[in-house]
Amino acid sequence: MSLSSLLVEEKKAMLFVEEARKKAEEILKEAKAEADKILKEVSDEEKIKEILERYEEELQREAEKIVERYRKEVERIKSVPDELLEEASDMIVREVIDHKFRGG
Amino acid sequence: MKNRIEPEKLLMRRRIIGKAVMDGRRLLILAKNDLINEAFSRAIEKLERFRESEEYEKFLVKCFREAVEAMNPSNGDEFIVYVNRRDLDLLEKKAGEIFKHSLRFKFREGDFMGGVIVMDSSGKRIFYNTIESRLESLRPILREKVASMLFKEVRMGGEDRRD
Repeated sequence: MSLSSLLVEEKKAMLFVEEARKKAEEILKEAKAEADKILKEVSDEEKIKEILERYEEELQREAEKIVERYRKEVERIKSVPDELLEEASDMIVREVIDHKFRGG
Repeated sequence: MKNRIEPEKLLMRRRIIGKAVMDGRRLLILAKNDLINEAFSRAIEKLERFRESEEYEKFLVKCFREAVEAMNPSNGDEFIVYVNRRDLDLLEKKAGEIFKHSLRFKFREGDFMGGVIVMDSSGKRIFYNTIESRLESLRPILREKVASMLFKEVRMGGEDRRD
């Protein structure tokens, strides 16, 4: 092989290596972008999960307050004076005795 | 991200707060029912005592008259009358006075607190006018009346509140 043909072959090989390097860089760039995207998604998911967990805790506290308000209302209802219960039962008795059904 | 969170939050709120409100209302309803039932229990005790009182006789006659008249009787009609064993003699005596012998009655023993059950001779028409049946037929209206007596004030402050 002559010197000139050797130089030509060397040039070809260099171009080939250069092209391969460019392709490798492109692949690396794409892989990095994909990895970043995945990482961002994971981090978003975690953030969403965290936000929703905090919100759920907040809602649970709010819910407890609501139930507590109803419990107080129940206590208030249960403290109906005995005389009022007596009045109510007297009213029932009166209605049962005095009510006129048809034909009466 | 906000687009994903807001609908989730809304669902979560509906689920958690909705359940709390429902639980609270259930507690209120149960408490109110207990008190209404207590009023009815006391009323039944009083009705049992009324059964022993002097006014009961007047009531019994009224129930009897009401039940027979509800049957739209004609002269000579026969009715079967169920009464508590303790009322048998009394009502047998009173029947003639009340309907001037224009109607015929057969008296039988009934297992109830007081009042009467009147049935025509064919058994097709029956009028229940016992203390128990009067209480039961009035119960839905009476429950409302009792509730309004007992919870008038409370209802304004509590049950009607919207969470």
